Amino acid sequence: MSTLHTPRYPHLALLDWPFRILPVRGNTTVWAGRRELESQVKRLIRQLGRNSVSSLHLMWADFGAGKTHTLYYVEPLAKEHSLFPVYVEWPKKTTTFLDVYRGIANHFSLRVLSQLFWKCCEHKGVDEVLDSVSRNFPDFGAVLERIYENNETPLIHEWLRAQPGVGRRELATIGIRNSIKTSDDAVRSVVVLVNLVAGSGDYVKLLLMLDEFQRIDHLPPRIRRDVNTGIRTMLNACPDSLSIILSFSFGRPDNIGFLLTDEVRSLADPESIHLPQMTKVEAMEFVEDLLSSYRSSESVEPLFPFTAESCQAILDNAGKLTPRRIMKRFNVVLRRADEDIEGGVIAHVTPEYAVQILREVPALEEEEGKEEG
Amino acid sequence: MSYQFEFSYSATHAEHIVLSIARTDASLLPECIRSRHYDCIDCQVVNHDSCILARDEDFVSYLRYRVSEDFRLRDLIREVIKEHGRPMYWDIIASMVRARHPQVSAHTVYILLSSYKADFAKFDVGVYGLAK
Repeated sequence: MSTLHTPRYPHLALLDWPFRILPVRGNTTVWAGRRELESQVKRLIRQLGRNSVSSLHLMWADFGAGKTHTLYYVEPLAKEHSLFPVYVEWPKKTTTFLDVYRGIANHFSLRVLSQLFWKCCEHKGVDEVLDSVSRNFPDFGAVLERIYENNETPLIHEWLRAQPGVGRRELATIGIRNSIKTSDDAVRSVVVLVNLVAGSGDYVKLLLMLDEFQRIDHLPPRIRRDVNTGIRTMLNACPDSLSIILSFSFGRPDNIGFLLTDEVRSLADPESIHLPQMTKVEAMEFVEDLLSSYRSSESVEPLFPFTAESCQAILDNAGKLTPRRIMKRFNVVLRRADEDIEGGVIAHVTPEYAVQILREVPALEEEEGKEEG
Repeated sequence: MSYQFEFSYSATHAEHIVLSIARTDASLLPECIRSRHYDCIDCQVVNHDSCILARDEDFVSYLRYRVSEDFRLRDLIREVIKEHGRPMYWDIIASMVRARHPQVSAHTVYILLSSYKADFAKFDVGVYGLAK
């Protein structure tokens, strides 16, 4: 729901613009349509927050079916259920698991790391925290010692993010012997981060959301194996306090099996999340929900400034009914109707008006063809 | 038509040439491969007298079968990539094809991906998708 109180579009009875092509990160609380999916997502997050057992979950979505929006929606929800969400978009170029690790480490600023460390110390005591970390990963132990000494140099964050170009001599000044440069180092570092998150007492577990995981289909088998091994090793090393959601976007859900090794597949939760195309009924419900989320006045028809007939005409133009295609078309029509309704040219969007506008924007289909590979 | 082919050497050589033509531009295939009803008179081969296709009807039937199998496999690969909706590393495409037709080797899939240039495009090292 929008947080605006003064409607930005009073003539449309809307608090804010409802049709966004790109999901907004940070405050994604609007969920439109697909009630069953919403329940499934909420149930999953609730369950993840109720026990500390590690798990792996697979999410498949058709192109433009709202995968990233769903993960953004999960972020605030996860926090409500004592999960520490880490959203990472799979890098476009990957050469080892280390590239993925960098995305994870980016979420742990020096401030966050420091907060987690001190919280852990409150619960377990400094000695125990430093001992257990140093035993498994001495360099990370040295980092925490520097935080303990209030010597929070930016070099710590550079080391944690496995930034290339940080020399050994430089690292030696803060007691670190080696940089994080292998997939094994990366996994050991994630294990420490997971333990800090869980040990802080504020969170049950770390929820790692790896979006666009389908991008590994561009990688040669050696790198795919390395990535799969990284995921498997992370889960093996963290039997508690880590849940991973891998999200995929391509035409067939069963193709997920070709991208994961048997070892990783065998760990996945049997109940995967699917975001297929919508039916016409679902699409209509989606539009109505979206409009009602931004509605400033209850005194208008639920679909205003559209009508059921004009919505139907726009949906007919979309072909494949995915949120992105639907949003694009409604966005185009509403953008024009916004001015025309304000100027008194039309009272509401008729099917003829919608069709005429969509006919003037033939590039939509072509763009979608490119996006969908 | 300015292309001319020679099928005078060996059956293996002839098969190789026929498949190469089929994968590059099927419209250039000799009429005997394209149809059961053909006439050698208009054929573009270099040497009619030594053409092994003209001398062995069974072999020509076999080549027709090989070409049709090649096309069938190409169509199957196209279908797999189209359903996936994005280019992929070739070994994944091969695994998907082999899941439906285990008798097809991964090597054959790779050869077809790299040979049917009008159908498949190389997007990166080892990454193939549908040609635009």
